[in-house]
Amino acid sequence: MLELHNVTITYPTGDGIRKCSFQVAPGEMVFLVGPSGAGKSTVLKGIYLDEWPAEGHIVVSEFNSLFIAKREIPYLRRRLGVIFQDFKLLNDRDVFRNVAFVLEVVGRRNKEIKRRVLRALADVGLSHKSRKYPQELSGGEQQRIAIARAIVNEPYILLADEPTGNLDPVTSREIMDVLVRINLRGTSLLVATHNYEMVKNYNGRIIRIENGEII
Amino acid sequence: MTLFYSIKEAISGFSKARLSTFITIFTIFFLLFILAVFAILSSNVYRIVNVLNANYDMQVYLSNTLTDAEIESLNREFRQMPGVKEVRFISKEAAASEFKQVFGEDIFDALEENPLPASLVILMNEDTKVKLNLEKIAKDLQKRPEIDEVVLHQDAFNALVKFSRISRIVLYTIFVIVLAGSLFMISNTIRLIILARRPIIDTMQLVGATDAFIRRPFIIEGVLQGFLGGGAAAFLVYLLMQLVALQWPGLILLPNYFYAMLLLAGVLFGLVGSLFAVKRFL
Repeated sequence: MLELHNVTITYPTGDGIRKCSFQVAPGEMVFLVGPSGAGKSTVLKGIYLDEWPAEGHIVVSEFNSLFIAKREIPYLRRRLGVIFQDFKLLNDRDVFRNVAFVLEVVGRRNKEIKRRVLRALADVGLSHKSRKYPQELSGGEQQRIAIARAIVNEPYILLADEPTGNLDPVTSREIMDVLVRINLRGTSLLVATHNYEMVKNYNGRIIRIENGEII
Repeated sequence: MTLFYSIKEAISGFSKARLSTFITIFTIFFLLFILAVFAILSSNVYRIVNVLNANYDMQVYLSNTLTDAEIESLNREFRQMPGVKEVRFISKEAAASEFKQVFGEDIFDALEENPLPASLVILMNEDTKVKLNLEKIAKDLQKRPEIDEVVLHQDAFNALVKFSRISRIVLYTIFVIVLAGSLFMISNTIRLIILARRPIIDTMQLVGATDAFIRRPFIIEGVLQGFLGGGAAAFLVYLLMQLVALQWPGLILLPNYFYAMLLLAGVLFGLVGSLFAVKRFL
């Protein structure tokens, strides 16, 4: 279960979110839709505690922002998979190592890393490109690698921040299809996007956000 | 697995800030090498001056009124003083003959009576602590009525003491410079590597790496830099000492543990410098 209770996050500039509340049930697909600057990314940052709520609290599985210690944040993040508009892949290593990186960080064994990475790459249809470097791939392929990286540690919930923002409509559709497939296997999905036209075709709950408030 | 990963990342970090890493290793090497050279000089100061002037002595001119028995008693007393190697009696006659040797003239040609006083020449052993007390001993003797004058032949010794003091100050100053320089260079290099690897650090934080896991490669990197700098310094100093030993066999060589200490100093500087950088910039 992911829960936001009256969450307010403020920036020195005055932007942020105010008194946002919503829940995402296990296995649910939710779209957080709003224009640029509405506060979508701030909501996601609050969930993985890159930003700390000034008011209210956030619950992710057994972690509660009211009680979590700073040193426990890495363990919260291991329960999440995060995807970004700009992919955030590491250009100094190939596709396999980009995905394996998540498991190396959490200290998994080599054998298990290999098995899980190959499965994640198969899930996004890019097993054959495991030795390529990110810069050798198209934007859509890079985002699929980012998705593989996000799911390789079997997260509790997948957070996607404008996952199709840099992609053309056809590729965007492919990426959304990959995400939906993952959701159908039981992983909760929270997608932040400004593209209402695209998400209205999917069978997910839509939450609207504007000027930092859920409407 | 995670330690292996950290070491791998640390080594790959070397290639990401090659020039800076090289400069840091070289700086640590150079500073530790200079430190070692001064340590060698400092520990050999007394010996170097010994070579130049082996005798540290004091000449005690005796009052003309002393009897032979009193002179003998003083002689015995001086022999028992700590640090005294030898006491030689120079009688009035011996002084006159020495005068003749030095000046080529017989003192009795000019004077009817021998004005030269008898003296006791005190040769001190090479114990430096005794040497350092020599001036005080001379002052104490000077106060005694049976002694006319005490002359210290210690110009070289004074120079030695002065040089020794200066060299110790220089050594300590160099040590502080080595420490500050190494720490600055290491922490700066680690900062550059951290900046170069910001994307990977951000991604690590995002996917749930602990702070310790993220910091470890940088700390290992600092330790490796210190190890290489310290190791190079130890190796070169060792080679230098072998050459010196061949050329000047009398010099005090550095004990073997000194090389280990140089290496350890490099490693410690690396550890502290990288811990500082990681704490400040991560």
